[in-house]
Amino acid sequence: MNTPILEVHELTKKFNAFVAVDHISFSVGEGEIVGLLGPNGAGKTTTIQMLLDLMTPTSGTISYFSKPFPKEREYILSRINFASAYSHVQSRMTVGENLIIYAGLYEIPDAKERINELLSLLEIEDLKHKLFWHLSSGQKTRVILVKSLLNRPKLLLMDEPTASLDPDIANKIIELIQLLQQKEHISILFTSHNMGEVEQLCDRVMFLSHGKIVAEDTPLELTKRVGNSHLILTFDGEQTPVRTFLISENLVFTFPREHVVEISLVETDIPKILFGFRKHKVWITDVNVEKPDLEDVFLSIAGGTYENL
Amino acid sequence: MRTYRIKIVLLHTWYHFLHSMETWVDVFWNPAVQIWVYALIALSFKQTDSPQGLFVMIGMIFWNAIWVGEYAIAVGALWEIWAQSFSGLFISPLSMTEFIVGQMISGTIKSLLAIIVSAVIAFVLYNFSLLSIGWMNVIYILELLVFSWAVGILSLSLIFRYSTQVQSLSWALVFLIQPFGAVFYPVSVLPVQIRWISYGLPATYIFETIRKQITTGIIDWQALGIATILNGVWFILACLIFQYTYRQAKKSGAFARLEG
Repeated sequence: MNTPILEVHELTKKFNAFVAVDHISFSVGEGEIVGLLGPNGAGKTTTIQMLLDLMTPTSGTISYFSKPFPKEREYILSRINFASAYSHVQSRMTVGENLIIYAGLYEIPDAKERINELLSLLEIEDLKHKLFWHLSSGQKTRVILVKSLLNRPKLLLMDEPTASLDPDIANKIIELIQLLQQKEHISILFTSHNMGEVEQLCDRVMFLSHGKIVAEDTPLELTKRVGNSHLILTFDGEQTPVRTFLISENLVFTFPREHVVEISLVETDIPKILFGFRKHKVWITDVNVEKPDLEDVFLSIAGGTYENL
Repeated sequence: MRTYRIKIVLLHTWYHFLHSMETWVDVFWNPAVQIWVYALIALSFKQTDSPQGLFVMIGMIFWNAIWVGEYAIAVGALWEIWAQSFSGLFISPLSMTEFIVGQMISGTIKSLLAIIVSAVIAFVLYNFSLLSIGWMNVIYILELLVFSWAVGILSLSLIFRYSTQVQSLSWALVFLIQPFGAVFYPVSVLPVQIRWISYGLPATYIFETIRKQITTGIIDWQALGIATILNGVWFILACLIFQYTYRQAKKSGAFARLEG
């Protein structure tokens, strides 16, 4: 990994006897998109709040750009930013007024140009003079994204930025984040419940469960650990030759319907099995492959089975 | 602490003020209507040659300094909490001190506007000019403003400690002071058993001094000195309590949960 922008060491948060975040350590490198995932109550939001100095950790250290946080609060907060579906700007003010205020707090020298550039990039120039509370959820999310990019952050913390959005709007926002990440080359620490988004966006994923990081890897490697792919075949004729062949290959399978077989196997064995069926004169009329995804990782972590894999 | 960011807080307050009818009502409408009533009460007393009516009206004019000054700090923060934008401000380089100082300055401006509106109405209805008090106006208003800041910071501490469940105290806390603060009547009117509360409030000495100056033309510097010392104590105590509750709120997670 390249130079770490954010380094977290043994970060812990206790609320009396309850341990919300339990000695977690991780880092985010330059230009990297890291997903922080986990079931509700896993400690994601608490971690983000500590990373923003909204909550004081019980123990552990946080450093950005090799500087201690929150000791170097002003230096660090002027170089990072935050976007969340749950964090808004002042609803009684117009979008333009809010952005002027935040540009001022970040001391952006070319504030008006920067605001116009970002409004144009996110295709919301027409909202500039509208009151924030008159906007739809999707429009608000875009305004929050503009706010979070005003200071050209080196690191952007995003806490469920697409929560409560319709799927088409959420997809558009994810595409925008990808576009922005490429254009501004920012690092992103991203939390979401939408595993599809995470697979689409993140270079690396950390799974939190009961306040601990229980898995950390690329989305692909994590899904490989969950288990086999499922090959679902529709075939003509009797079940017997199918059964005989699959038993000879030592594979686990079921017949969900009379002419359909579902086989659990390693993805790389699929061509061999399909070729084998042809040799055994089994006529395949439909092929469907279900690969494990982050959803399966999430479910196995939420179900407590992941550690046993 | 950066002056530049305090100016941005003031700009934020101004933008909010432009779009918020409630703040216009609190800063202009309420003082105007109240002084209208109090000036008419004063007029009815004028027929009996009693100065009590005048005292009530002047008390109301200066009460604006405490009420609006306190309101600006506590409700200024509440507007952000209600909009779920409060924590967003503090993940920028803005510090809590800069935010509060900004609200104190904005409270001072709003208080002065409320006092001017009240003074003009009092002049029109009762023919009383606040300018007759002279430069002492500056001292009285400044003393009352410092006290209002202390009460505002205490209100904010309560919100940080008990969340928005106690948000009504942002309006109500200051009115707890009114009966003991000798705003409309001298301390001697109060039962002896509770006068000690009055003597612990800087406002008491200021309102007594104002009345003394109007009646006799004499300025009670000793009372003003006591008010200044008490103001210092109240302000420092309020800052210490705020610092403690802010730290605790960040430790307990209450600060992050303020927006619900």
